Amino acid sequence: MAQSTVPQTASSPIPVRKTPRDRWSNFRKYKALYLLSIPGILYFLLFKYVPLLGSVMAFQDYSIFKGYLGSPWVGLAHFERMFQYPDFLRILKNTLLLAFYSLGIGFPVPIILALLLNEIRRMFFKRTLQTVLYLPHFLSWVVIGGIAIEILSPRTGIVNNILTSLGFDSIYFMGENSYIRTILVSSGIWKDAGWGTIIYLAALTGINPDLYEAAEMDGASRWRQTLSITIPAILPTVTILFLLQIGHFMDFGFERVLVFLNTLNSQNGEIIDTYIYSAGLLDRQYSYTTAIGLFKSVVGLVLIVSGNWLSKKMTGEGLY
Amino acid sequence: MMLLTGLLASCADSSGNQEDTASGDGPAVTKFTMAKGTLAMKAVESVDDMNKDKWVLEMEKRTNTDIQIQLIPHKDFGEKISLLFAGGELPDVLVGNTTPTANSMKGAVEAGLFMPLEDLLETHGQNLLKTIPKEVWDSVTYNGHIYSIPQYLSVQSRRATFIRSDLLEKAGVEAPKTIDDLLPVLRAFKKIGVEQPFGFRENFKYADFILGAYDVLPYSTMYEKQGDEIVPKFFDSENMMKALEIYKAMYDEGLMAQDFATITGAMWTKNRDAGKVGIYNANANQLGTYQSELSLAVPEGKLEMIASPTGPDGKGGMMLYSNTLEQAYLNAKLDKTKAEGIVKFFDYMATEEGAKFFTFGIEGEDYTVENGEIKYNAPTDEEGRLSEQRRDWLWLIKDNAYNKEKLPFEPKGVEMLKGFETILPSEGRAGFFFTPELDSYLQYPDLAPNFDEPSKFILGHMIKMIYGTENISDWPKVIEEWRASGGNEIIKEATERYNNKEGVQIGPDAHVE
Repeated sequence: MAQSTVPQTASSPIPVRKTPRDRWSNFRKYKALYLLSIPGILYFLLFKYVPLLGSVMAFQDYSIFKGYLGSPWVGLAHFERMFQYPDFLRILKNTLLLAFYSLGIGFPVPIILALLLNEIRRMFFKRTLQTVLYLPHFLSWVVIGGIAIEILSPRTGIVNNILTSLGFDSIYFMGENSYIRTILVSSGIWKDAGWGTIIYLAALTGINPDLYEAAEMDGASRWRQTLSITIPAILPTVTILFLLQIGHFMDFGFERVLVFLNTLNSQNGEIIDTYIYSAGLLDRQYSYTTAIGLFKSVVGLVLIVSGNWLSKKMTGEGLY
Repeated sequence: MMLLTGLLASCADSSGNQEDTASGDGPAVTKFTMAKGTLAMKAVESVDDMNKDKWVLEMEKRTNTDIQIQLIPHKDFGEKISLLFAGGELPDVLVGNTTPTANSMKGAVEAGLFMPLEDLLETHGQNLLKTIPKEVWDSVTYNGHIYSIPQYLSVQSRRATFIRSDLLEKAGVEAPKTIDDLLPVLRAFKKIGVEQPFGFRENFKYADFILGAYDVLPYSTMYEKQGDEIVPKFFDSENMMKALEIYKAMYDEGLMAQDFATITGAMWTKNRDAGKVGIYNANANQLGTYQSELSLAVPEGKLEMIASPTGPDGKGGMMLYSNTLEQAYLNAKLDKTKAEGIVKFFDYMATEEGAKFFTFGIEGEDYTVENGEIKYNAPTDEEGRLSEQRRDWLWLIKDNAYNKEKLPFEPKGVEMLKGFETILPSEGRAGFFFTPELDSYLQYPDLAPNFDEPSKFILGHMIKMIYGTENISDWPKVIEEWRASGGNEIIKEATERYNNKEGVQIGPDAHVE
């Protein structure tokens, strides 16, 4: 994907109006490609669009024993209840803040990492470093949660052992509202930043080495080369990935928060997904939590549409 | 490990033989599936394949059944049950841990997912009807039908206070008798280097005799009458604040772990077994097991069951259990012969022969009878103990308070028996409770308490007050806030139910003003 986006920027595409006949011949020409896309389309229909019908639950008093047809309709009652719930704004704020932090802080990290890795000349060192950076991606959140809680424990954790040996008081990191967002965002970066570099590294290899040679001839420093060649070359990739990220803006992830939550930090840590889990699955409030989920999806949709619009305006690049 | 594999292999063989004989002659084998919680028992959760366990195979042979057991991890029990209902794929037998009137089961029972059992019990469950007390049958009856075959508890005070008597000796102090004696004892423990004199665990689980002493346990069976309203016991601000002060003092003075709010059950168990904890609550019948675990880490460690420290009214203890725990629900879709076979299977558990099998195992192998007296070869190694626990786990229909026959053979058995007969019957707290549960809990899930856990709302404030981010003196404000965010609806429903005498139960020893 990265390789294909890079050359595109060089030649600006000329819009051509197509007749239906052209389309048909297009279809014949790329028959194999269309056939290949069928499983993907089916997947989306079956697992993404059909379940959307389940959203009617949000407008019913759904009982799992009566089903969609037997449950009474209640209109917007669940949405009203959601906005009246005293903690709803707090949870929404947490969700948005966490999403914002993880996008704002978490998104640039893989780019920087990729640029740094790209500068390493020793292949062996680079490979090893890359592997070490990837590794956390393959751990589950439960494991990462366990590790983080142990490391940050006020009695046995290494962080507090260092703090106390330097003469500071030990801090109950998991017990303070003020730390939870930092912990959530940074554990996410630790887990996935290395993995995220893969696409950027691929984009970097797609840059024509002639450009660097020419720049060197002109006497450009490494820093100058990075600014004027590398970054512009990977910018389309960055834009696409950024837009994809925005689409997942509200999907901060449910289990990665759940494993860190406790009574003392849930004030700042609880997000919509964890609330849906506890109210919906544990307390069996299916309709109510479907309404919340639907609301979340609508917010996500608005974000991606406006993000795409903005990006098209500013960079000419868009998802669709 | 080798031994285990060998055992499994030999079991697999015997299962083959058994099926052959069963199909050859005698009545047809009843084949069914059964989902049952693991109860967080290592003995159960560590097994590779429960269906090949020695005791399962032996049980099947004796009851002429072929059971496919599905284990439900204890930790996600509620979630898994919700998913089972939502998925519509119920097993033939579901072993639940609540009565048909509890909110978690009520919907399913009303929807007709489970079979009414009166007639089947009449024809095939006479031993069950005889053994299980009538009050227990009443608690599993909903709309005039019996919906489950229940375990029962002859002593409803199930949780007790355990203390390390070797530490008491070492520190030169006596076990606390009243709640005022508690802090001095804990401080003495701290002085001799006990890491966590008090064993706090998240959500106050097994760490709540202090709340019990002040009679302010914030649980679902703990409502009382104040004026003309039925309110939760934590409305007693004066006593609630006293109890919280004690927890706070323990936290401030380092008498419990500094990360108390995040001590999970697993961490608590680890600390306890490593001998780092001085005093804590536990199920009384675990005294022997916990002692054995402790002895592995601290050979001189001595664990003792004491009367829970008493509060201002001279009473103490934790919440009393209802008279039933686990219970078997039968899928309504079962055909008649299968359902009969299953009732017969449970009926075996209530026979004298069944009790003997589940208590002592196989005659000649695990016990011998000499002059009419049973000589039990109690297991001495870990694998043997776990196997014994699995046998007990399989025994669903029994008096789960204590096993009078077996206790004397267990480590600390005589002491436990004494505890069950002298200490536990005179302690424990109860209040008004509601079956079916209050509907307003569904509307305000944050305010809904569990049987042994405070509601999320109350828990949050309690923990924050102990940690020091909120003032304990603000407890009356917490009550106001609780009322405002839906509590008034709960009180209204509770009071109406009380006035109309609809499904209100008054626990033994409840304070009725």
